[in-house]
Amino acid sequence: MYKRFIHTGRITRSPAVWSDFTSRSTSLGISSQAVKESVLNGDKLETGPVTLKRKSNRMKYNSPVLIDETFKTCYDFLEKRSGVTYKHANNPKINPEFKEKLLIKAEITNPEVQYNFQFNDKLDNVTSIIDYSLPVYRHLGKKHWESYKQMLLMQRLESLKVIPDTLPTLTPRVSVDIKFPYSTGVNQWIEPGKFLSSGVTSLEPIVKIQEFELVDPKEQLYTVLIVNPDEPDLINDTFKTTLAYGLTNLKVDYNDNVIDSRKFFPRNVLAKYLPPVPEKNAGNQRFAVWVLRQNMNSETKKCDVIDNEAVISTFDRNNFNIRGFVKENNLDPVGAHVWRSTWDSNVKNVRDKYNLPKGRVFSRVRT
Amino acid sequence: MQKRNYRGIKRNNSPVDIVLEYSVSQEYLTKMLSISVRSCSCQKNVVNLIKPLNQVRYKRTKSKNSSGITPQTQRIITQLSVLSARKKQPKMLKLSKEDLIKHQTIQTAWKTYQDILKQERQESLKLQYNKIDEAMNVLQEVSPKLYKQANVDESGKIFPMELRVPTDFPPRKIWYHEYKKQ
Repeated sequence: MYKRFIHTGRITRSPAVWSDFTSRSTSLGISSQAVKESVLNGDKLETGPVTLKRKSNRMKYNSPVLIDETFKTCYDFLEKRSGVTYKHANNPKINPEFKEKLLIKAEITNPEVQYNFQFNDKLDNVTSIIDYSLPVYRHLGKKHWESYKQMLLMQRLESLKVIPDTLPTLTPRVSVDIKFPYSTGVNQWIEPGKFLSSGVTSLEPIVKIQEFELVDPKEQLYTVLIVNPDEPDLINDTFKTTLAYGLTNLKVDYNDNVIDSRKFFPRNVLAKYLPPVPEKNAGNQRFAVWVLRQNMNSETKKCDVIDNEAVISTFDRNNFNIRGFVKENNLDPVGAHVWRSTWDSNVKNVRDKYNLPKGRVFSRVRT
Repeated sequence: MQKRNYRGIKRNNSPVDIVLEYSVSQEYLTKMLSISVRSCSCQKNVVNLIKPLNQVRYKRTKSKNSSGITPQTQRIITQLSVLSARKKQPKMLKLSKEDLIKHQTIQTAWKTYQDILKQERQESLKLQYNKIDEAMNVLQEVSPKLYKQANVDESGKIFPMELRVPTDFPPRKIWYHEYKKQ
């Protein structure tokens, strides 16, 4: 179909946009030279596809007929279109949102980008492979997140009634992942709603905030709140919300976005971490992690900074009103996570470690 | 009269064989057999042969109101029901990572190309429509009568089936009397 115009001598070949890495990021290409050759010039290789590791598998493997020839034609066609899109995108007059769209369009059909994204870990943030500061990887990341993790999170938040028990609702826009990476914890990203033992949660989690939208990472500040809406309130015969952990004025990059103790200072800490210490027979406790964007001033293009010292006096962490806090500080909830804790035999040790009072043991009362 | 039987052994023709050879009607056969029974030496065998076929009731292989499923079909259905769903699905193509990416690229390119074609077609149709619209507006101004005639509702109008291509002579067969609508 394209052969006719591609082989016409008069038509000058468009500059090879996708193979020129002078102005483009190297993460838009496959880093391994062998794999790159195998993808782009597969017909020249006689040993079979490089990604098949065992030689016997390579010998056995048969590519679909004429795939390399067809691929070449298609690659040229798509690359040519990408060149045109780049020309539009480089126009200084267009607004940033539109430019982002064009940059996505220019690279999304690039087989090297697709290879990098599909066959590599999306949470590791290795900038040489998947660089989330590039619009195309953010777009792909968002699609990937929406395809499963976002839905899972919302299902867990709704079925566990985290919304509306903590905040009324959530329109998820950032991917939030938590991990308890210390020797006591489990070195893996926690699935929303998982039951974690008190030993695992005895030290504070690290929070990964992955932005997919076009924000200003140099200015945008975030607040992270971990609240427990299941603390028994015997006086009022109900439950109250306590603040387990609070961090404010956090800056995250598109790629370097794991918030651990090396990323913030004591001045960022709104409330120090108090580990889950559920009491016996008091049921499961939900620990909701809320990630909130701080208000961006549209005139000055600066983010409102929360003055921790002033704010601390305004609330009681043992009876925390998260809705009031969010409203007062003009925060925008963009992401959440949840885990559950229940009493286990290790709770006593955790209480001792943090000098917490002795736990109560609840029992059924005939009414 | 000598005849080879199916094993190739020559034997004397019995009257029964002769009768079978001529393959006469059932009635004639019975008459002949009644004669042959008397003349035949091995009476018992012949009696077995001449016996009218009794209806034997075997086990029912299809239900009374089965909708035409033969036992063979039923057996295949049973066999398939035992197989897992996965095995009944077409086998997934096992492509290497490179080939999967190549395949996706080809698909994207083809889709893009088709989109371009579609857009071109849509644009040309739009232009055509605009031209028609323009011409009709002119017609309305110039001749309202013609405009009205051009806008008669023709929905439900089909080609008349009675119409035949005009020919020089009438057909050889004027009317198909035995024709039945299928």
